[in-house]
Amino acid sequence: MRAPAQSAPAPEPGIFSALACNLDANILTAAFPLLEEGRVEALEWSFDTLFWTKQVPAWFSDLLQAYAAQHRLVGHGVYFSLLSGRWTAEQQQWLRHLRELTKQFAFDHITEHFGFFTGQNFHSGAPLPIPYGANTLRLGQDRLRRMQEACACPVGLENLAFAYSLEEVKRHGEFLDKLVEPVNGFLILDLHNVFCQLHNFSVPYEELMDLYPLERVREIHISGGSWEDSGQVPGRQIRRDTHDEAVPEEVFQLLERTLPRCPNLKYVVLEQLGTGLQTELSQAQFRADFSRMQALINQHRSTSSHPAPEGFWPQQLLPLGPVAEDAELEAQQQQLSNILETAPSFEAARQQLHASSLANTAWNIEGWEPHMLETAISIAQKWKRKPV
Amino acid sequence: MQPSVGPQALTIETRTSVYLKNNSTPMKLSQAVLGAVLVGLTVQTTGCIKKEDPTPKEEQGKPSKKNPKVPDSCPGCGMG
Repeated sequence: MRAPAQSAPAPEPGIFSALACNLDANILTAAFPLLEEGRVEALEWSFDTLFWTKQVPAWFSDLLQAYAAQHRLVGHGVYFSLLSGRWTAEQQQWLRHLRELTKQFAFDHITEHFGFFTGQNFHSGAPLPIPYGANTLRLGQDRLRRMQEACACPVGLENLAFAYSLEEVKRHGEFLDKLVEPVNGFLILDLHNVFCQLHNFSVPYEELMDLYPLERVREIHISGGSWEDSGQVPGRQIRRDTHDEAVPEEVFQLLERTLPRCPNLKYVVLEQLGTGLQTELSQAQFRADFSRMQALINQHRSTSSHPAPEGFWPQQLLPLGPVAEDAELEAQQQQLSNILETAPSFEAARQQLHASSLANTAWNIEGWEPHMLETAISIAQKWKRKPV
Repeated sequence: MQPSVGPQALTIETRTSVYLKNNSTPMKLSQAVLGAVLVGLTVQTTGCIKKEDPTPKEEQGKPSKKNPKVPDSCPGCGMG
């Protein structure tokens, strides 16, 4: 194991223009000119996506360490499955891995996604929302405490792009606020996820942002996505957060409007997957998107006073008790995952759901929008682990 | 392996360069780190995708409703 880099003095407060940078040849090739020019002010690394290799290559580790030494490296988890009813050996291992990594890299903070993973095995499935109840709040708060105990730095959660209903969309910000409150945590506000919700539920930006605790936003994500035609609602298109295209104009406009509303913002991260960066043209567009993002941030910096942001350090580390679990929630999640992953049609999935233990419960499946159930089926079946 | 930029790409970058200002917080990387990244890229493989994940070849195909023209993504944000 490589020794942690010598820490440098903390940089001046500000907002860093950052890239989501993983061990991916296309991303690194696209980003290299920006790295060379010193314009990438911070890196976000999805530290749990390297399951296909046993060791981080030294050259990539050195790149991460260069940023960590300047307090400009943040970690972004994908696979913890924060809100699974059951506590698994894989989650325990995920925490062990995080604990080891934080000895190696001085992360400025660690984040994860909201939701539970549909897959029965780690590294399969996709995250979906859960009911916003006292039981799920307790579960999520317990898992966040464990994350914070493992990484010993600020922790945060990202808003989810997916929702089944408008009511759920409107309650998401408040529930995220309650989840992170005990750990003095923060939010990643993914503006493409917000864009998905504005479009898919026809809700105005101001109305939705008023429902988010924007003083807790320490990080913003921007990215691109794609459109999919709805089979259930003819003529309707669903916006999906596929991270594979250039950042749309609407998301840049959302960034410009949102920057002044987040007093504790520290990072704005451009995300794009390597699968969408295979051509020189797409790589150049990626750099153009970064330039536009950086220009908006610089414009905001030059026109606003930006006092030292909240650090979101834990006020006190509470002792960890027994792991919170919820057997009923776990059973419901398994049923839902199975239906979504195996249903041969939308109608079959709908009928199975109404005959399941989720009917007439806090899941409120009766209020799910047809085009979003259709999307959930599509996501779950796309990411289902294929038989070996 | 210096990444190259084609004529169309230059057009895009030139267009966006008007947005740039000089009040950012630069992050100077050493030549050793940058050089190692270039060498590393020559033997690098793709991350965030594993063998069992759907690949662009499997799902991309001819653009249609069932075979979207977009490559596949990481599942993280929930609508990928």
